[in-house]
Amino acid sequence: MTNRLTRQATQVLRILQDGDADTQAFAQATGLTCPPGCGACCENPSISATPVELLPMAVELEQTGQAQAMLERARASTGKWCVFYQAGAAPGLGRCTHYRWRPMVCRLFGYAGVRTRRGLEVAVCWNLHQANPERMTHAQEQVEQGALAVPVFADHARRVAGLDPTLGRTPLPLNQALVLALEHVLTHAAYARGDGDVGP
Amino acid sequence: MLSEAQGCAALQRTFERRGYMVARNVAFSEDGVAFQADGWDAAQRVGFEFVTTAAGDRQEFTPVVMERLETWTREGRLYFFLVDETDVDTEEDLVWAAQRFLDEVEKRRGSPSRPQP
Repeated sequence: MTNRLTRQATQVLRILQDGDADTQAFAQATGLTCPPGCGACCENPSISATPVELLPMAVELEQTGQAQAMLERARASTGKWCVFYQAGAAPGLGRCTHYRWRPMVCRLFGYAGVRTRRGLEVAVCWNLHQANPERMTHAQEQVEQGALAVPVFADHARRVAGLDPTLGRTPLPLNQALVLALEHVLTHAAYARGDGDVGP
Repeated sequence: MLSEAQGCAALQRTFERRGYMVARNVAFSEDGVAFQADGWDAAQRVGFEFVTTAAGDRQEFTPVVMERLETWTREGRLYFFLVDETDVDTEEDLVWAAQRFLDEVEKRRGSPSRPQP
């Protein structure tokens, strides 16, 4: 693995963790938190991320010897839900097996700010909105008044894209984004080893 | 962390090596978006901003301004490389990201063409 790629993965992870910090601050201020064990958003196969958001995940998988196997699994899982999602006992329940390395969309899916012509609005997961309509309305009012900061997905995405404008520009369904991130990392790892063989 | 001067010098070298004629500290103003650009090639409409606290960039480069620039970049109206000092650790990383950005620009509209002298 090249030093530059490892450093880049660390830099991306730092931005992802900033997203976590912003989310936690918003949750503390509003009382809006995802229900325990909820995996409803993870069961949507169209959830997308840019490959660069998955670079820390891909580097971790390469360093722990799981990259090639996960690449094959992700290639075979196009159109299905995220390969890291482990479904629970009932629909909508489950967990992430690689939670620490998850991309920005997974960190901000519960709620995130969206800039519209009317200003900053809060987009909230449907389940969360249904369970907390009053808190949600109050949070929206506070955000509109500028009294409450909300993590804005576009701002975090822009920072991540700045680190790799090629892999960071186009969001893809999670498994496809993971394939590109893993191919990128495996190619670098192969060159670093000097064998240049990364499979088809 | 890279300083404003180090970051801008590295970006200027990178852009110039790719054929861009970058003027430094240019007053940019279009459609209500105004700021002092760290680097801007007005003929090619390609530029860069290394966002630092020391240079006071955070007052000008608000998230709204950055979002407009990003939209214009997506539309091909201009191409602006925006990177925050807190996000890159070394000059090598900054130059690498800038090169990837210029690769994308050139993929979309080719290398910068200049009139022959």
